[in-house]
Amino acid sequence: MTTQTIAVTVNGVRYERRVEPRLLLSDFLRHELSLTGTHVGCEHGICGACTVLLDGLATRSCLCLAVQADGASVETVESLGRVGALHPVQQAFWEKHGLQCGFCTPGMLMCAVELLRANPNPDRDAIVEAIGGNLCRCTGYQNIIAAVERAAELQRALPEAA
Amino acid sequence: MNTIAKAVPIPPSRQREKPGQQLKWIGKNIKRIEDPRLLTGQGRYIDDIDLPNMLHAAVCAARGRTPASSRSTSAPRRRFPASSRY
Repeated sequence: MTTQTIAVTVNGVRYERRVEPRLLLSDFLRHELSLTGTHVGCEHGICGACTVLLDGLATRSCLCLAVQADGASVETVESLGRVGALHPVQQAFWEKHGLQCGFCTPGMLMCAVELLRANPNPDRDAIVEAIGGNLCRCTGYQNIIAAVERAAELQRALPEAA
Repeated sequence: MNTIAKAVPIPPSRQREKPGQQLKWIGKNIKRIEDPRLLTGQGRYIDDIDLPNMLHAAVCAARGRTPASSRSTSAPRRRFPASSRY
């Protein structure tokens, strides 16, 4: 199998790897870079669990080849916050019970981050639209919507938007 | 009936305080301790586990008729060389 050298910036760190052209971006993140925060649910673009930001745009990493991300910048859930220093969106999901098992959460968080960058004060319809491509089997979505509303509130209270 | 009810009067309640007065958490939302781990991508789901020399296995359904159990052991085994890789 032929391989191709790619250079991808993931969470601010530049990685250069030789990969097979068929390698998915999700598998590149999880297997090559050991960033297992990005979850693969359905592997065909239905569930949204694998959503990452590719040059700032929410992207299904299971529908994207690693070679397509050559030269691009990828942000995953690991870029947000740490235990003890959560990102406002993560803090809001915690406070509002926006997760139970947590499998869909990385995708939900990245979609929420994309939404709040473009629209710091989204109404309920905008939130529903933003997370509309992500499946959650635990929460019934109500708490996730409340969490994104709370995240917007938290980010507005910050001196500078994250 | 009436005579029994009159003979055994119902005693007054001995309760001196309202229930739950000392219980400060009932009715309150509690933040889960596992959430920060799950929110930061540190959760460990089954696909995140990578053990030394771990292999991936696939189960292949029999094609056509289901082989009889007495013959299945003598049936030629198909080899899947790729299974040891991925």
